[in-house]
Amino acid sequence: MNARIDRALAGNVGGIVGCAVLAIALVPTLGSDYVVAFGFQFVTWIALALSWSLFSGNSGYASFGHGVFFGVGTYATAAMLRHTDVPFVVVLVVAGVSAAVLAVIVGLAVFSSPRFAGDLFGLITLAMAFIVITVVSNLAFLDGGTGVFVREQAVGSWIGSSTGNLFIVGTLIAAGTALVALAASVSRWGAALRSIRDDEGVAESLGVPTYRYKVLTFAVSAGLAGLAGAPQAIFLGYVEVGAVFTLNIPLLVIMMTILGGITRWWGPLVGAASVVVVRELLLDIGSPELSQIILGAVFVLVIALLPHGISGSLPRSLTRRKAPATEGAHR
Amino acid sequence: MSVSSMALAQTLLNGALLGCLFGSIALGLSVKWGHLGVADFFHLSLTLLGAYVTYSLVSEQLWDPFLTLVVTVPAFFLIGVGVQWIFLALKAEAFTALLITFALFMVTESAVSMIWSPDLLNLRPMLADSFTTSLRLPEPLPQLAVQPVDLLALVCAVVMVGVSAFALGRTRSGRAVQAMRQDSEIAQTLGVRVVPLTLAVSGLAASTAAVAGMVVALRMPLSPSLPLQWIGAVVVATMLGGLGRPVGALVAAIVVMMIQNAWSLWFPPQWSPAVAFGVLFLFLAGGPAIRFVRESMTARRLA
Repeated sequence: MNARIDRALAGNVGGIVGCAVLAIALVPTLGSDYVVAFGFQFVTWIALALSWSLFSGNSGYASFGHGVFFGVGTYATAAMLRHTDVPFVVVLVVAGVSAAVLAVIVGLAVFSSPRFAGDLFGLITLAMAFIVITVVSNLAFLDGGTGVFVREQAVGSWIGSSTGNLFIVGTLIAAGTALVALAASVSRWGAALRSIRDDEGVAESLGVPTYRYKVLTFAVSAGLAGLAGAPQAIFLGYVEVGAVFTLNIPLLVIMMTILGGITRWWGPLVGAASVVVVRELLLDIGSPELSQIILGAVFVLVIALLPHGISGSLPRSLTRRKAPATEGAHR
Repeated sequence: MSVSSMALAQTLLNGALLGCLFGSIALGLSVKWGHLGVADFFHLSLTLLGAYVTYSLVSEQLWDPFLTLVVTVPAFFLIGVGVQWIFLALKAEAFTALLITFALFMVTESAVSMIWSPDLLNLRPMLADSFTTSLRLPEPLPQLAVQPVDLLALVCAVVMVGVSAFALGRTRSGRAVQAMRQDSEIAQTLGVRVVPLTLAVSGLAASTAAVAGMVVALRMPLSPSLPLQWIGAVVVATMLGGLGRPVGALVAAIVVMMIQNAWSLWFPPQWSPAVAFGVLFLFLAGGPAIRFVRESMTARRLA
């Protein structure tokens, strides 16, 4: 049994690393500008969906705040580039850490009482979004309400020189997130989180330190979203509160995860891929409102028809051939 | 900065009256969340939709604003029944229902912007003077003024909240709703017809959005993103007032809006959107403290 898990695990890790290396080697050199830009958004959404699912999918605490952590990473990057001269790696770290710190503060408060579970947790994370929006748009250091031009700040550095480099960073972040998601699916840590989803009271009475696990995982999930926000700031070129903190982001991320399914670690990945492609196709309609309406309707249909998502609806035999590891990992 | 007592009184009065409007929006949310277990974002969208339909009927068909209720109230009742029927058919859990209403929220914003345009639409220039001339308060406080529309908001809020509170607390069906909230299976065994009752409550909650929407159309310029500005005050009022308590929601909305308005007298007004949530966090954080005090007082009384 153990040997099977290990072999399957090695296969999965190899798959993630291999895909990332291939993408980094091929896309920036061979792809057109459009393909690279699309690829960057693609890997960013994958990182967001996988990191959301890491906490919310595993623990069952659905957060509407993932867009905030992503946005905090974006704004931290914009501020660092504007006010300092540090290398991009440092900026990246600061972006991830700021989002994680925010999550720790919120998590410590919210998870301290069992009252804030279920839809109340969702609403509190939504409230966090409104508070962060107000703070960011009123602090001149971050934004002050006028928006921040990032592109010219990044001119001359490696990261600002081409979208291909952004794609490389984005792919590395997505691959890192996938490895964390994979780790959560096979480790004690992930099992503890899933026990919280199944029955928190029972998990606690069996000795799972639920508070610690929830706060830590919430922070890791937020930190990964913050990391993904860093290249996004440079990709956007101009960051502005309304666009960065739009409620579409958490909605899309939740939709991707539900569509892909949370019963396998790669579910959100499939979901992110499907939603990104559908959104790209909808762009051709030419009306952002209409595509939003279609997307919302598809979302309702997905919830109604595929409650376990794509990955959860595939027959077991098919998933075994496609991804041998997940069978062993998920018992 | 010193503020004259009259300015403060006027600000608080405006806040209280705006609170009445938010209270009537919060009423539907509170009833659906408290009694049906659905935190219904779509209720805010319905209010917006009600406002836009009122706008069209008044500005294009030249209807009297009150006459529009004849159309919107029954139509919204049906929409409320329909949405709840979907939840029942899907056997949706609380979070699934929340997600669906959230998706409908985004869909409505886009749909409204497609049908009516994303620009601001203002009904006020088309209204009779009796709607727009502000009134002075009677003798003891002649310096204070109110808008007739705000008085209308007050009347609508008091009537709707009063009727809901009476119906929930005093009538047979209201007690059935309360029983259903406590334990739906036992209530069903004891003869409560859960499905029709659930559908009816959802429909009635949605009809209140039609009335609130009419007041919104008369009160402020319309834009598709208005519900996003309301979420804060409405959700906070719903939670502060206690889920499922109409009077609580109205009182909380009035208090929150008074605080928010007073805040902008002394502090930068651009921070005021965060005030409502600040109040909520203080309340949630204070919850354990309040409980501690109450328990120790009970203990002292018993001893």
